[in-house]
Amino acid sequence: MSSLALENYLIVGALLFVLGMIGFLTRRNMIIMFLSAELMLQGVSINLLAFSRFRGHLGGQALVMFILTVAACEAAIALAMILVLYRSRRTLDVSVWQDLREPTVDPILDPEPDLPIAPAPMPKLTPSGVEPKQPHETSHV
Amino acid sequence: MFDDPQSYLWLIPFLPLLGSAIIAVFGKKFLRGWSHVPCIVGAVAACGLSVLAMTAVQSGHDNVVWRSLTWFQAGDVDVKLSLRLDALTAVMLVTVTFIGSWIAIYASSYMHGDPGYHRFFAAVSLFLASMTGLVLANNFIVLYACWEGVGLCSYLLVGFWFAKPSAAAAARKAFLVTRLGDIGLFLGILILWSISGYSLEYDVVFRLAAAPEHRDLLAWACVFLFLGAVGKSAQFPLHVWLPDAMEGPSPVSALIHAATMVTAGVYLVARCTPLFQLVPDVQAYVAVTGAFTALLAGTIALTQTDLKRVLAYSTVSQLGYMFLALGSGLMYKNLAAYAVAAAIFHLVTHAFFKALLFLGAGSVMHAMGDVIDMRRFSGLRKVLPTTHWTFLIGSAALAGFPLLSGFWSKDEILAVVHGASSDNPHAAIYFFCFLAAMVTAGMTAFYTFRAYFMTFWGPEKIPQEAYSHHHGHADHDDHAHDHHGHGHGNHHAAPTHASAEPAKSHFESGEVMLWPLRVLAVGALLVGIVLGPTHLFFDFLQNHWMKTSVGFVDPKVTLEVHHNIPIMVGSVLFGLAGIGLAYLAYVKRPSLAAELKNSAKFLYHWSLNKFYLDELFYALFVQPLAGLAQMLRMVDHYLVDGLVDAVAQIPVVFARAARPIQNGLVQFYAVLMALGLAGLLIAILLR
Amino acid sequence: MNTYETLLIALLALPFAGALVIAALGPKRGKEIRWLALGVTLAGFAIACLLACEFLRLRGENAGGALVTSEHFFQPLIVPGPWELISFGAYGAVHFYVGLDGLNLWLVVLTALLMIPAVLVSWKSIDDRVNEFYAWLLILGAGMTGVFLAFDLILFYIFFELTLVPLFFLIGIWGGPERRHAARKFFVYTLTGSIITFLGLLAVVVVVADKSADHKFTFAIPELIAQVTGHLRAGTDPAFWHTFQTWVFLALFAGFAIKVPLFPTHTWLPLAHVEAPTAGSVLLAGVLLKMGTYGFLRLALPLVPDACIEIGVPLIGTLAVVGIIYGAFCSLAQDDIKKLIAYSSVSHLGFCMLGMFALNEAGLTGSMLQMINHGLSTGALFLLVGMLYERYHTRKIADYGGIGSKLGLLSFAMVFTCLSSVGLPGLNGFVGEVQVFFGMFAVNPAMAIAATAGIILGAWYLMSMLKNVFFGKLKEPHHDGHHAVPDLDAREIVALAPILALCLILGIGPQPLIETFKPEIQSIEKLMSERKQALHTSGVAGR
Repeated sequence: MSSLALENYLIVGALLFVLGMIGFLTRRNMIIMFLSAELMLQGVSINLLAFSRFRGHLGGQALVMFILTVAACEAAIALAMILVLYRSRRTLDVSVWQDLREPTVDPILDPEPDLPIAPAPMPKLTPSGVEPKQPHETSHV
Repeated sequence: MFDDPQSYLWLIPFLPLLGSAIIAVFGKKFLRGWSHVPCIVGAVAACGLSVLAMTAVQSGHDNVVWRSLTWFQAGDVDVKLSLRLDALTAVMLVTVTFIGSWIAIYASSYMHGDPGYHRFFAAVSLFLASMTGLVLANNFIVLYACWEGVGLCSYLLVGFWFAKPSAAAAARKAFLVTRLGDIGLFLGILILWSISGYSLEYDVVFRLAAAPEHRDLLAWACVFLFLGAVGKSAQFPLHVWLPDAMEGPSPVSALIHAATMVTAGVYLVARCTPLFQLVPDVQAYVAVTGAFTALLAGTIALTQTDLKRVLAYSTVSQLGYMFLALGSGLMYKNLAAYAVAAAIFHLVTHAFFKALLFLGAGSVMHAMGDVIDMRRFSGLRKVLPTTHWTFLIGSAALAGFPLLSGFWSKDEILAVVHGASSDNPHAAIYFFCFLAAMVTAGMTAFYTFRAYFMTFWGPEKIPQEAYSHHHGHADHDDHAHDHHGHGHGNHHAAPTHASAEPAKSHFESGEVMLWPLRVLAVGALLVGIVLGPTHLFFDFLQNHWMKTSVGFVDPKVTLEVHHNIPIMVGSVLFGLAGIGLAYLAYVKRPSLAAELKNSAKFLYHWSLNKFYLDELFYALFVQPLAGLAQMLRMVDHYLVDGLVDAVAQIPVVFARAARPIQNGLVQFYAVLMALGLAGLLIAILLR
Repeated sequence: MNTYETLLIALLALPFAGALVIAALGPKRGKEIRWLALGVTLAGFAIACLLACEFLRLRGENAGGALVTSEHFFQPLIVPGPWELISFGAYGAVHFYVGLDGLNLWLVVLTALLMIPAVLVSWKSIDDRVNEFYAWLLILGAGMTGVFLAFDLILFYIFFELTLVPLFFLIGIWGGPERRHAARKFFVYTLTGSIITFLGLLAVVVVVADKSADHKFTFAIPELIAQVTGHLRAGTDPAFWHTFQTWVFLALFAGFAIKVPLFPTHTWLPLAHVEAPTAGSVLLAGVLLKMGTYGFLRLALPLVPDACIEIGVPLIGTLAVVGIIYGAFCSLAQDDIKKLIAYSSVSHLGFCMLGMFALNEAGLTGSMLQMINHGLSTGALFLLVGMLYERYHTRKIADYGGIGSKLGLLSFAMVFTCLSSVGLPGLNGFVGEVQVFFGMFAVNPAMAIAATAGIILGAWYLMSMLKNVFFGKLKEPHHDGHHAVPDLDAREIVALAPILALCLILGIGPQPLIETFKPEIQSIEKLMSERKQALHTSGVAGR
């Protein structure tokens, strides 16, 4: 075991967790929120690993393996869901989704206009076939 | 097996019951027009056994108790299907089954061709079973069961032509009004049960309930028992169902609503004499009810124009007589035994002549194409010769014409009441009752002979329906004739052109209907004179019932009141005056009737409209209760259910407070989670 | 496990299995589903009859003598298992403890019997989602049977609540126009009550465990009763037991009174009845309501006898009398036949409760009989109304008139059933009613006298209904189809005949039935009189 004390690890874990939490609570982009959640998970994992090492018990490491697996599955499902949500409203802003509120409660709207970002036009492929006639360009240089 | 009544007693109700079951099961498909056979066979067999039972009683088997299975038993309620036989039962049995048999025979012709033929005889047979069970019962619950049973049969038979709205209404009215009385009977039984050490058998009840410390409760019990009798025997104020019950077929009116079922109340009070004689106040109440009913019904009968209704009110009136006698059976005047015997005697004679009159009325109705309004026919004595002379005998017997049966029994009653109207605290009451009875005797003679003269004398007038019965009906004849050809089997040959005069004899009913009339006419002529002055009836009841029954105080009566000559003469004079007046007003000088009517217009209208009692009860009880029902329905809907819904609103109010939290914003939830976690951590740290 | 124990399990398991198979068959195969459901219910009835015979044989062997000593409460006779369901280790366990005794035997048979007409009467009237309907119906039957059979508190409660779910769907999917409201009200109302009941039952378990030597949780009803009775007899800490009983009684009252339903908690009933499909109404009136009265009889009376005597008699007696009269009046004012019969149930079950809280043998016996009688006659009434509705699609009394001359058999059956319902001698209603009245009159004449009003009112509304609908001038409601409306067909006769026959048989010979539950009734009565005596002496001592 290196000279680094347990606290050092715990501090890193806590920092990761808090950063993740702050990110989750303050950002509205679903992907960022998801990443923040992952960050919190990693903070927890570090905690677990540190304690595992500290106590010489493999339980924590085993748990971390689970967290990793679950996080992988979660990533797959969460991203798929985010994609679905994006498709239906063309935005990643999570505050657009307030449908599960009680029917009598008004939706919370931000004061600043938060229009859905106009999607970037998809790149167009050049149509195949005979090359169209290009207008002749004269160089003025 | 016929030596011991125990061996066949149970057969008397059982045979008609079996007959009823057979008709009910096989009647519609197999028996059809033969449905009367099991009924008549059952009735005649029961009659034979009843006569046998009577001879057995005469030969000393006068307190036979037949115990069979337990019907039900739990705790203190122990009901056995037990039967008893004594003179009272024997007399009732013979009367019921004898008249029942003849009426069943009559009905087999009267109801011929009715689509409900089997239904009719099943119900009649069931009625005979219930009625014989009622008089045979040895405990109050079996009595009550049979009591309800005869009520059911009455309901089924009054509503026999149920497609007719008036019949349906009358059936319901009969059932409900008598059931009101039945509640009284039931309460009476409950009280008797509780004061007699939880027993229901007659003997035990009569012995234990008579204990002096229970006198107050006993008085109540007797009042309630009498209330049952008031309902069943159509006494004021519950008499209103009986006239309406005339919607039933005429044989039913004769059997149930004249001869037998309505006398069940008289039987009940007679049976409970050992109790009633202990409470003179209740007896006075019984007597007053009887006298008042007799007078009231007699007054109403004076002006009715429906032949059967006249007879119905007459029945009510005569039943009033019987109760008057029962109520006069004062113990300390040594009158109890005599009074009860007189009442039962009148019951028997009345059964004969009233059944006869109803069957006669049925025969008239049958011939006149179901027309029963006396204003629409007259002078039928040539047209219906046999019906005429039998009806005359019945009328004379009812009017108390000397030497006929009604004369003897009515006189006994008058003598009893007169005997009670002195030397006792209620003497004045009894004296008024006596006067009422005398006046009623005159009125009875008048209205009976009014009906007789209106029907059989005067110019010959036959309504249209009699000729062309099954083509179209008279305007006010609202019989719903989907029961095609109810009993007009012998009119099918009526000429198609209605004006043609058919052969006179054509109207008279067939022999099957006439024989019961003749037999009952002979009965109405002779029963009184054979049994009355010879003391046969009284001795039989006294020796084989009163002396052997438990609790009969002093059955050794001195019959010093017997055949009180002045009273006899007085009542005969009243009766003859009534007959004479009827003859004057309806035969000699028909204008006199109208003059009488005009001279007492007020009374006439009250009488014609039955003293507006139906309307009064409707406005006083039915309407308010129906209103209450409507009100409670509203209360239920708005108040009770509204309260429930209001309680259900309480969680909603709380939920409303917590609602804003559910704003659907993911991050808001996340903040709450974080705060919650923080709170938890702080709580743990600070602990 | 002997044959009969297996059969008892089969009685419970068969409907569940049948429901699964039927649900799996899919909605298209209506014919197979109906026949399968009929087969299952017939088999259930056959099993119930076999069990009843065996029970009577066993009873005959030990002559019921052992039961009369009140140390032995409700010893069920045919008991498979009992197997542990939920174990709390050293603290005891919930058992699958079912069996038959005198109190539940006939109710189980009644349930099995009424399932048959419930299936038959839905034969044509249910076309939509047939498989679901019959699956729920069978589950309902199994649940009701379970309630009666259970001898373990938790098992009892599970079955008690299990019946709500199928009926909720039966009313909510196949009901009338207001079915959703009715289903929700029925569900929430009765659930609210029964949750409170459950708390009361748990309180009994906890307190008994606390007071016992080994602190073990007991859920077996006979055992609980024996322990509670023992504590009461010992008479230690009377103040505690008094408060305890009061609260437990009130908790039990909440659930069972709503289920019965006692006035004023009855308002869910007419609504549910009117909206329910015929089969639902039949089972609701015929069996489900008996779960409330049965609960009082099985749990409230023996577990909290003192509270029953002190609070129950005045409270429930009064409510029962008010319910009898009030229900009858409401019935009288209805213009819908089904609603009329629904309110008549309120009135009739008032008689049932009145007899029960007479707390003597006659009253309790009458109450038991009334449970069965009401199941038969009101079940038949709902069947008949359903059959009428199937023909004319209306239940308004004003739409009908003189149906008697059109549908002879149906009218006969209706008149017969109404007469049974008004308590005519010779038919079943009479015997029960008489005993209820006698039982009550012996202890509280005023209540019995007040209740007699129900006799005449009952006759009034039923006879009026008969008069207006079946008698008088023929007035047929508009009905589709040009051919004449047919009278009862073979299927309907088969559905009705056994019930009507039983009405007659029970009216003529009720004693064998009475003998069956006599030992249980006597042991309850004995406990009650013992507690009455004890309360009396303590009351005297307190003064």
